[in-house]
Amino acid sequence: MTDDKELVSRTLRGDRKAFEMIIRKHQQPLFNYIGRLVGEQEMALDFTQEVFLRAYASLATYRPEFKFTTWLYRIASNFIIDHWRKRKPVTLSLDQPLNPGEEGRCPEAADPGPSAVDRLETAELRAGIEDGLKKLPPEQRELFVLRHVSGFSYEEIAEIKKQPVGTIKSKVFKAKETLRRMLEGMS
Amino acid sequence: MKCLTLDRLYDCLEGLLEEQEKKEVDRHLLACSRCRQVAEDRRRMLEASRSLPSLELPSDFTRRVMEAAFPRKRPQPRWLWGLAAGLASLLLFSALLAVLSGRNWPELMTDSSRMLWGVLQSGLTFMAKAVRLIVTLVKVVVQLFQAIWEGLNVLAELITPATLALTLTGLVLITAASYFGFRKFLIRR
Repeated sequence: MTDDKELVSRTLRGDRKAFEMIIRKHQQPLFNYIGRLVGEQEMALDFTQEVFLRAYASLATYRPEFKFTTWLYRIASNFIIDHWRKRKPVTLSLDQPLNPGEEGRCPEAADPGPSAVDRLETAELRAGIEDGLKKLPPEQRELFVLRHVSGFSYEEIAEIKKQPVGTIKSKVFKAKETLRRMLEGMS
Repeated sequence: MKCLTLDRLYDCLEGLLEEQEKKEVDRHLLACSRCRQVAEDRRRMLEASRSLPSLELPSDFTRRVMEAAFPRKRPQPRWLWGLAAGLASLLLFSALLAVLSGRNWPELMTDSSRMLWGVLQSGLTFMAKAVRLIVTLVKVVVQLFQAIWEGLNVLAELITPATLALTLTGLVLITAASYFGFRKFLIRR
């Protein structure tokens, strides 16, 4: 498959086919990411289209020393955050620990009984995760999806979100444990 | 034996540990059933997250985005271009006339208006004559058809119905053959 940077360069020279190839290459993963953040099919379609249009409009500002995917997802992330701000959802502060003393706790303190997650079949577990994602605070949801659904590295997420890697890791950790507790509650 | 922290466990599950650190964690997991259970729990959750099914994207999505990115320009109506060209020509002609005649603008405008009125009058007279001619032509054509109709009636009285039907069928066939033959001839050209 043709390199993203090459496709961007061709698009900037007026090659529409190259932009079409960019869309074809990134549409499904981007739609999965946006869809899991907004939770509505039609809205996710509109948002994905809008992200591609914004990317096209600002393609001249893309710097080839960065990865195109992180640049594209930064546009998507900013767009979704704007949408959430307009809707003013109830959010939890990510700087606040889940429960006092829980962060990075030793598993010894965890429930020693049979695992709740273990009792779920894989299909049930996936359904539970989809359900739990909808209930996660927006920022935790986004970071969890970027890391564990879309498969970005912590460094790439830090670049997308323009935050230090350590901060991102800590927030993703909280997201994972929040989701895990939700799964326990479901089983 | 000190148990693993969740941070370290996640790092291990996500492949972020150095080889030596990973070996230490694995060794601990072999020995500690509690940590093994916790690790297995998280591993299953992460694996299930990574394998969530793709959301269904409509097959025409790319086309939709391309159409939004490059909307088709609506073509300008031809009559608008004709009108603009006509006006531009008129202005150019007036300017040229002003320069060539060496007369001042108001005088030229008065003369032009008079000339335009004259042209308009002539045009209207021509139109009236053309309409009269068309009416006469229509009358002639109507009379011709009446004569043909009467001729056919006389002919119908003279020949038998079978001969008439045969003649009409023949005429239809000849007309159709000529028409389609002519079309084929045109297409080949």
